[in-house]
Amino acid sequence: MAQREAWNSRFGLILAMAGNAIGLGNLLRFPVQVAENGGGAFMIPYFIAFLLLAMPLMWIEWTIGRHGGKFHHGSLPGMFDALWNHPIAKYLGAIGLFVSTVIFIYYTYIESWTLGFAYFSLTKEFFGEGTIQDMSAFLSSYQGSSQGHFNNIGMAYFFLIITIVLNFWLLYKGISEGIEKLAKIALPAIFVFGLGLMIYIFFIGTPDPSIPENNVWNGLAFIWNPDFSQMLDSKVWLAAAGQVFFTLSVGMGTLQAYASYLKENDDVALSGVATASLNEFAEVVIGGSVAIPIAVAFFGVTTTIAIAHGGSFNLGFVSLAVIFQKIPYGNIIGAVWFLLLFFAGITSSVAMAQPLISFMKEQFQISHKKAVTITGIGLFVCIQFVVLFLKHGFLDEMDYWAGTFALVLIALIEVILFAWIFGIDNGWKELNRGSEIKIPNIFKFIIKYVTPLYILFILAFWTIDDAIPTLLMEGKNPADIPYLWGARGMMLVILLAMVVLIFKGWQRNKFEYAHFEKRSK
Amino acid sequence: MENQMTTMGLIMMISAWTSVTVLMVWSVYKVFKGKKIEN
Repeated sequence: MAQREAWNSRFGLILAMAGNAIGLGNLLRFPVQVAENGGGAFMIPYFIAFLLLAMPLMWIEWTIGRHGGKFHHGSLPGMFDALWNHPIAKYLGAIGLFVSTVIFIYYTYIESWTLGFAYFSLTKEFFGEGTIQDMSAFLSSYQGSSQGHFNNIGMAYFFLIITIVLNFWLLYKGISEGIEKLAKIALPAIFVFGLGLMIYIFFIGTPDPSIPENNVWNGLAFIWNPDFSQMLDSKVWLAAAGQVFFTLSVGMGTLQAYASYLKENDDVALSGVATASLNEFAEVVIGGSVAIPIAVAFFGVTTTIAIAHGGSFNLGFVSLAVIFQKIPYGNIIGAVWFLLLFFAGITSSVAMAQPLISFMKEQFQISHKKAVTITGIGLFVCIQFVVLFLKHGFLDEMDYWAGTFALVLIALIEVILFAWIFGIDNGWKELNRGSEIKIPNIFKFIIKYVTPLYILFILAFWTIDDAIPTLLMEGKNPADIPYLWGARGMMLVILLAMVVLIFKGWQRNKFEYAHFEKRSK
Repeated sequence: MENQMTTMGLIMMISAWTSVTVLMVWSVYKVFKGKKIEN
């Protein structure tokens, strides 16, 4: 077998892993979730979910990745095949390959908006759109959803092409020369930009002295003052579990893909903690101190609640863009904010493409260049539908099924495979091999019982509460329904293509693993 | 929800910030001082 790529340094790997985990969700989704779910009281279920759900999954994924890499597998089909001596195992991995690929398709488009808005902020393109309504219209016309500041989708397309080219240039350079070098630049940039913005915002204080209650400190109070009555609401616990789930990028196959380039005795336990803690710092400290506090300082608590209800993009691309027009050097501060989002986005998107590229190289023995080119062409074709049908909910449909539902499903599958089929004793031994920290034994119990039950509960609740109504398209605009079916059709084609490729790949390669006594046919 | 920061809010904020910062500094420091990966 051909020599696999490798990371240049352990610190580069940690930065790449953290870059994968730190995304738009840390800076936009987290503050909205905290504000909507009881402020500081949300952090109690959040930290509990971090310990019982996120950290075990982080360790499981690092371990599954390193274990799969031992057999030259860089994607979930092979990794699951090496965990479970059953023909169906590799097809379960198809869901993982599907998740990362589908998210990669629409995430790249969102990422391109951040690059576009960094440019618009620097050049003051949206300066003059001074109200929430005007800025919403600006964003909508940029996305091609309506006529306004932009008459067509040309500008959005231009930044999309730049984003795609940048992504694939990095992917083409490979693990150590592309992704690792990007992480070594982008991660420090995220922390410097983020902390710089935090300090700047803290100094804003009370922007309008005639409304003294609108100030940054009250913005922090809005996020952190606990409303303990909400802790009795099961939805708050689910929201907290969902947030820690999404923020760490577990359930996508990307952490496993990066970990597959480790050697058998490289540490995964401490590395998993370092990755999670870097992500949590970016989320809890930076993410909680930028968007909401500045929104409260300029709009007040009531309007900020309405903005938060409008969602993460409403907060990040509309409200903050209005604020940047009102502060000194706002165009530069705005560019820093959107570049921060762009760096957070690109370090995640290159990770999403990695499992598919690894899969093609390893199963079909094609060159790295060819695998990247095929992935690039596939993305370019699929993304056209996302761009053209955005206003009909095409992206949201993909985000729900791949970016929410299937993500949780794959996490459930992998924790069962790891703890129950591969076996908790084997899994625990594998996790602790080469470990530089002693993981408390209680986590053996948590991984075996608590984490799967926790995920099962989330999945069951979401299936009843969200998945069935979404599947039945309840409350959808009838005009959008054909496009939503189109999105489902495209995802189905991608999933079937994964299954066929896995079938063909396993016909070409006969994988035998010494730890299985005999392979099932 | 109170508009002004309450004592409990301040405690929540400081303890959350402190715990994630300490965890990050400790783990990244240990990675720096730890074994290099095999190549």
